[in-house]
Amino acid sequence: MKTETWKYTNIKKWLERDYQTIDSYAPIIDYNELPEGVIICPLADASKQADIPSPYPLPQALEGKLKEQGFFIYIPKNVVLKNPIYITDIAAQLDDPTVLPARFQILLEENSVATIVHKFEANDANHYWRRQVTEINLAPNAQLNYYQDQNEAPTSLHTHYIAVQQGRDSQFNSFTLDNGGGIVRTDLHTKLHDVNATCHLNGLYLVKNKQHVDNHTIIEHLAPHTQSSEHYKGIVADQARAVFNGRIYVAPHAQKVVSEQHNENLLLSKQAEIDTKPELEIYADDVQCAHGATVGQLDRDAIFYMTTRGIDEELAKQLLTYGFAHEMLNSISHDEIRALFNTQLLTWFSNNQELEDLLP
Amino acid sequence: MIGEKMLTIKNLAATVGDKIILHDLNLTVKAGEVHAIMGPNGSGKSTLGNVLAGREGYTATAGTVEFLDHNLFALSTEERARKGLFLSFQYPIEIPGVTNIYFLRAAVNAVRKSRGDEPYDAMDFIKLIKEKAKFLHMDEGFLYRDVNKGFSGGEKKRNEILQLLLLEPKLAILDEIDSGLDIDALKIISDGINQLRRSDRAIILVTHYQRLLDHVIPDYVHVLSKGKIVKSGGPELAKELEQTGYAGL
Ligand SMILES: Nc1ncnc2c1ncn2[C@@H]1O[C@H](COP(=O)(O)OP(=O)(O)OP(=O)(O)O)[C@@H](O)[C@H]1O
Ligand SMILES: [Mg+2]
Repeated sequence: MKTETWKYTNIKKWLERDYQTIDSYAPIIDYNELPEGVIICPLADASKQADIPSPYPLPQALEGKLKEQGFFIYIPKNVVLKNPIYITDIAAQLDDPTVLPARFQILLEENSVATIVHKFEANDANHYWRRQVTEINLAPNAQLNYYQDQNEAPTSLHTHYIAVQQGRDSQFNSFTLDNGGGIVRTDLHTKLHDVNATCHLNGLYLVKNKQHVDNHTIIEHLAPHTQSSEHYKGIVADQARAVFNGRIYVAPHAQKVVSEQHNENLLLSKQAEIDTKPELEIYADDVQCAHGATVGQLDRDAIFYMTTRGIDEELAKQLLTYGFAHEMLNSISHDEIRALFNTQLLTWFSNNQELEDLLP
Repeated sequence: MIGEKMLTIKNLAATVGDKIILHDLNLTVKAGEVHAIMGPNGSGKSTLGNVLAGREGYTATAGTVEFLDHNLFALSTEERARKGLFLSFQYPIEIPGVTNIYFLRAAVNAVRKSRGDEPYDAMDFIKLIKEKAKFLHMDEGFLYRDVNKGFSGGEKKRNEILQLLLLEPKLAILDEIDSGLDIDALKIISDGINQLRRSDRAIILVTHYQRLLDHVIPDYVHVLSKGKIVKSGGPELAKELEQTGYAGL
């Protein structure tokens, strides 16, 4: 546990617990018309790739005892999935505290295209630690659209390490929606290994009450002519706290890299807190790297304008807040997923009846 | 109806920050009337609009304002709007992320609800708004853009008048609605204002130019200078001012 990367996120009390474990891991995996050759099976049945270890610290009591379960998703060469694969992970009816270690391995062969939506939910579960690891391998010219819909219980700890290896001409598009959780830490680490590999990392974190949401991303440009763009937006209310740390590394020989990073935050209360930090480590000289971070509040003039038209101040604030967040959803090209995320966004507002009635 | 009290301002003083901008300001507007307020830059015309609408930072420090039967200052900004006060902004505010048509429907329904009328559903509202937009020669595209964002000066003013037509207020204060408009747009907007002239409604036009007053002929013209009304008269006063300027006042 390198302390610097955990500066703002404290999981100490979670490391001192004595955990229950569960025997069977059975996420709901939904898909339509899977083409021949596609494999979705428990990890135990798959000829496994090399495991990467979870970088998260382990409670001492669990040392050597944690059995990871998980799934393997394989998309063969030239296969283009028309419909998304939905994975719904529900932490259901758990005794306190429980640890849920799970691993997904996703392999896309050459020229294949897939969309995966991973949903994390809770039902009658309180103090649980979801320890998720996702390994993604993209062969040349493969494209993965990877969506996360994190809606964990407000008393839980959610850690998710996502490691992506990208081959030549591959494309990794991700969207991380944080709408729940107590303490949430996501590490998204992608390596652009070969020329013309591209990643677009987008995210939206909606944080309120006493929630703590930490997004750490690392993009490694390890070859020339690789591209990345990153855009995360956050709304932080009440006494909540959010962390965004975006590291971009460009290797010395990785010339002609184009990289762009934006992080925009809206603070809705005086007690809310955001720590945003770009970390650029650029060792090549012929690159285009841009980055920017903003932290703002609701525009008083806009609220005034709306109230002069008879609109309730509360609704005016909701409209502005919704508008700020909704802009992020425009990057989602898949209609059904965009609608799902929009519904999630609306549920974030308490007292949202008027807002819901207004929007299509 | 004609002659009923709409707005009665007595000895109003107001500050912006700690600067006194308005003082000893008196103005009475009755239903059915159109008043024009003219005056040099910085004399306090927009400040008056902001004070009446209840903008943060604009504080009335003395005097009274009655709007219909209400003590205006006892009402919140949204309550003033729901009771029929409308301020069109000299510089309309851009609202990124909020689509014009949702904003407009929220406004119209808020006002309708407070009057006890059924709110419009999305379909009925689209019909209504398309008709108004057409009247103002406004491309429907503007309905689906963010409120005022990237609109040209004239387009913003048209959007203000669109709101005026939709909200049908009792008292409309139009702050330089004519500034930056080309001849055709001025004609269209004037037609919009004239359409609203009614015996149970009053309009205050803040303007620098006679050409608006050629289209919308006022009943009274006032000159606001250094925070108070220094001269009042009929439509001829505006023409006179165009000749002589404010220097003699
Ligand atoms: N928000 C503000 N902060 C500081 N000063 C202000 C503010 N609003 C108005 N003032 C000041 O109050 C005075 C009156 O301004 P106001 O905008 O009311 O003038 P106006 O008569 O509308 O002028 P114009 O014809 O140029 O629109 C000016 O000196 C102006 O600088
Ligand atoms: Mg002005």
